[in-house]
Amino acid sequence: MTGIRRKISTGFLCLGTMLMFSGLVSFFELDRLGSSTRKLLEVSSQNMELSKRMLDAVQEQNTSLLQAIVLEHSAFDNDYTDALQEFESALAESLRIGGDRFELENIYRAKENYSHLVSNYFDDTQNTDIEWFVEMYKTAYTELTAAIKNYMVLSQSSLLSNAAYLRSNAYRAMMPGIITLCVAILMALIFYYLLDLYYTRPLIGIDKGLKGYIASKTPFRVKTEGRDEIDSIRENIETLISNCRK
Amino acid sequence: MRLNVVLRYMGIVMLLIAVFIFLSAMVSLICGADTGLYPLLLSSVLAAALGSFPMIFVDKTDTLNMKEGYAIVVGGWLTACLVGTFPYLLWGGQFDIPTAWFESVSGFTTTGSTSLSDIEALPNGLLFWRSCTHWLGGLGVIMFVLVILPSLGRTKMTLSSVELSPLARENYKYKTQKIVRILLVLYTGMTVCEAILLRIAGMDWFDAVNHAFSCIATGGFSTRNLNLAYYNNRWIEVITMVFMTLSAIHFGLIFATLTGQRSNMFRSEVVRFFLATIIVGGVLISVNLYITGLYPTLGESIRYGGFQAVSVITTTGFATADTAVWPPLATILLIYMMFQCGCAGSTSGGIKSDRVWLSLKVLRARILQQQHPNAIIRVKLNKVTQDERVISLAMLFIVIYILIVAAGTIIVSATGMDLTSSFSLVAASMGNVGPGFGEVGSMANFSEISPFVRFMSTIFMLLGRLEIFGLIQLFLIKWWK
Repeated sequence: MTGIRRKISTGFLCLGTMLMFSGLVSFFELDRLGSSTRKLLEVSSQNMELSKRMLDAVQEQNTSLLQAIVLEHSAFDNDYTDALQEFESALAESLRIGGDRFELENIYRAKENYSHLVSNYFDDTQNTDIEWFVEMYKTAYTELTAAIKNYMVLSQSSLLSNAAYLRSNAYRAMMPGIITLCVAILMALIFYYLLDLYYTRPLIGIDKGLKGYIASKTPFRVKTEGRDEIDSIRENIETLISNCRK
Repeated sequence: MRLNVVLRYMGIVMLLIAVFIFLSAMVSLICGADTGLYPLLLSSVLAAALGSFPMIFVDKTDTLNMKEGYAIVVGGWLTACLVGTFPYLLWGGQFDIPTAWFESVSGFTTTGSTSLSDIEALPNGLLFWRSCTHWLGGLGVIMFVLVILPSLGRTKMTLSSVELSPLARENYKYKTQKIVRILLVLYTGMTVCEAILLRIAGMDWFDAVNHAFSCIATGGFSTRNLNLAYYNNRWIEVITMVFMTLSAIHFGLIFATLTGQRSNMFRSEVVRFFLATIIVGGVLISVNLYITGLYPTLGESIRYGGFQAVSVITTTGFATADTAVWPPLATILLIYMMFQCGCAGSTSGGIKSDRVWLSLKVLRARILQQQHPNAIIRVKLNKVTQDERVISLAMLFIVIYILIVAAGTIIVSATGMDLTSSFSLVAASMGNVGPGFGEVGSMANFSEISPFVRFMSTIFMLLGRLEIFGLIQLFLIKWWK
């Protein structure tokens, strides 16, 4: 490639690469932001779903226990066991997806207390009377459901803090694209200036010089920057003019 | 002025910055690919692309005129500060645009003020980049000035005659390449020595290197929120004091001392004046601290008073104590030191001991002249008679410096900041010291300061670093014939 072609091609190539790079960076950052947004929303949604499952399971346990006490039927033992398993599975899932550890530990403690009371009944080691039901069972049940509800509320309110986090993340996601674009614009301005300095101005100068020479034989004096084809043209024109004068 | 040539040289500055950002990215990678890796790599690519772009068109040139020299030096500094914000902005976190600009300018001008409320939250790569800005800034000034001045030819550059002490002129007997090599070897050698000594004294390698970068450049950035007070280690403080003092002495004089030349630093009037100021100032501050009962023992008063005196006069700005609560005499002495600062030809900022010493000599000469009107009294510095033009320029510099500090104090105090904080903020920024007093004390930071004041502060930092005239000339370059 010749001098001018090489310089202009390289300039455009750099600009194109920079713009493409800025696009890629923006795309990458937005994709990352999208992924983290989706992940946060998924976690919040899963937490709420799991809280609901835990609450349903506790209510199911409560119903099974009451049925077992009132109807004195051992078939309800299995219902209770199924509900307990469902509860434990939901709690384990909450721990796995990284729910609030403090709240989950509260739920776990309340569940242990509640299960202990109920298992005592099913093992026939605990007499059930109204005093036991009101003072012990109801307190444990209320504590457990309250812990689950707290967790549910926390999951909902965490959406607010997540939104604030996402907003700062959006700033971070935009900044690389903005900076890359600014650099590309700056390069474009430099490119424009250098094209003007090295090619446009000398060509206009050559044109004016030639017109002046043709019209009134004024000396052809044109300044060029760098050693390339434009400079070569200027030299050739000067040679041509000096040959014509001879 | 050939703007294309200026652009080419500014491009070289950006390439240098890109290399150092890339090094910081490598540090980030070594430290377990922390969150700073991606922003540093991206910044490095952007700086390299922007820096190499003008080179496609503009051919190498060996001759520069004075205007171009000024434009390159000042433009290079501004570009460096601008490109230096990229890693911070791309990382995000505590950095918004004003904070990133402040941090970058404070780094490159080796001021060392920070507007970050939690420095330890930064990833290692970014902490290393912060220290690199100091190291580049400290080295850059000397390199730029001494590399570009010879390119200006034999043009009478008025600034150089004041800026460079007699030994620097001696150094001009060498070829430019040798001067640069001497500086580079000294600068790097001192950094390596300090890093090793700090490591032996108890810092880990990462902190030792970062603090060495910061100290030799007389910067003041630390990797800890509590600055050097975090370590509470006497040996670290002693090592840092020694290297801060050395970094504030003319590098040519250090070289002369190391190579056993006659004109070494112990024979220099300016260095003796500088060291005497440290000793007298340090002793007075320590005694004042002890008498007022701020510290229970004289030993502790000397430890903290001495360290802060050296830290302020060398314009480093490291802190081991909260000077905001110090008594008035100690505060006044530290403020004086903020103005006098180190020697010309070093990495320190401020008015410089050379000019202060010269002004004292001029004062003595004027008094003698009044006593003996017919006598011819010459002002000599290191047995060399000083030209009247050099003297008047030094006096002019001091006057303009003080006027800018006064004007800056009025502007900053107009935003509602108290007088002590406003004055010390402007004085500390102009002198590239870093911490001031009041709201901007040695244990405080600029995070609570308004973005406008922070921006003004960066202007003063640049004015101080470019010795006032440099920055002003850039804006007057159009009318410069």
